[in-house]
Amino acid sequence: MKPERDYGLVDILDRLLNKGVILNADLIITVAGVPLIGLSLKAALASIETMLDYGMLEAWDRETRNWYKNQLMERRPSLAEDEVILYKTFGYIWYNEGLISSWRPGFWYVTNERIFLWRREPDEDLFETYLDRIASVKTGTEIEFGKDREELNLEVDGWIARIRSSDVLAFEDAIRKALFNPRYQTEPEL
Amino acid sequence: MALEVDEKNLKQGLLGLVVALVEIIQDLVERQAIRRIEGGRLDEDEIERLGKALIDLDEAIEKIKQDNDLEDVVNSVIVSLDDVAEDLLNKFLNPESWAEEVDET
Repeated sequence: MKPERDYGLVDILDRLLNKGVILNADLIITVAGVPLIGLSLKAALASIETMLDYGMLEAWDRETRNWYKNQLMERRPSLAEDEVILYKTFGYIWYNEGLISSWRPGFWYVTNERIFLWRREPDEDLFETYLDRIASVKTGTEIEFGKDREELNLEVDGWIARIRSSDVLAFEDAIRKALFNPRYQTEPEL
Repeated sequence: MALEVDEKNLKQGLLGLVVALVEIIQDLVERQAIRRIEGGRLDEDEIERLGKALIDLDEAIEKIKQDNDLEDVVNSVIVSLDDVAEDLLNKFLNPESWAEEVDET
């Protein structure tokens, strides 16, 4: 049980930022009646939302957001010439190599040729496979933090890729549809 | 008021202290994020990106806490920091209590 209290450290800091703090200080160092060194301090500390309400830092806020937006626009995963994106979702892949084991985030793409996980920053394909190398697609559940989490298991070259996304079933559906693409159905032998 | 780091388990204590500070910053950032979203200046894409980033951060911190069994340490550090903050605020809001404390010593 947590002890009841009216305000904690975070509440105080939050209040402080919401109201904003202004510091104004002028200082002159004088020797024998002659001012020699001057100091004029003006400082403001507040949440950006408060700053904007008072008309401060507006241009900087706008420029920062626009710059980031442009950065995002410029980056796209590299596709082959006749490759078409069929499905895209934000998700993760389980990465386990050496000392590192973690879920690596990125954007999952299902195209008519491949399935890959693309990370925007820095630009890299974290996982890639061609559709014809997929042996099986399965969904499973894994318990994490006391909750069931759905995940997708993709069998590729005798190895299982563990995949997570917000809607695992839709992802699975997209992969199955892509696999039915006639381009990868093997010709019946005569 | 002193923050106590358990000497028998230095790693857990120190990591708990760091995670507690990170959690306080995270809490603060989350509140400010809500203010920005409610402020209406952000577009939908920015709100979504912000939300996702904060969820990722939350999951990462939870995972670190779970992996190292830090919940109790972190909670106790946060409670003692809150005590310090409450104490300080009380002294500013009513300086008489400060004088009483001085008289006692």
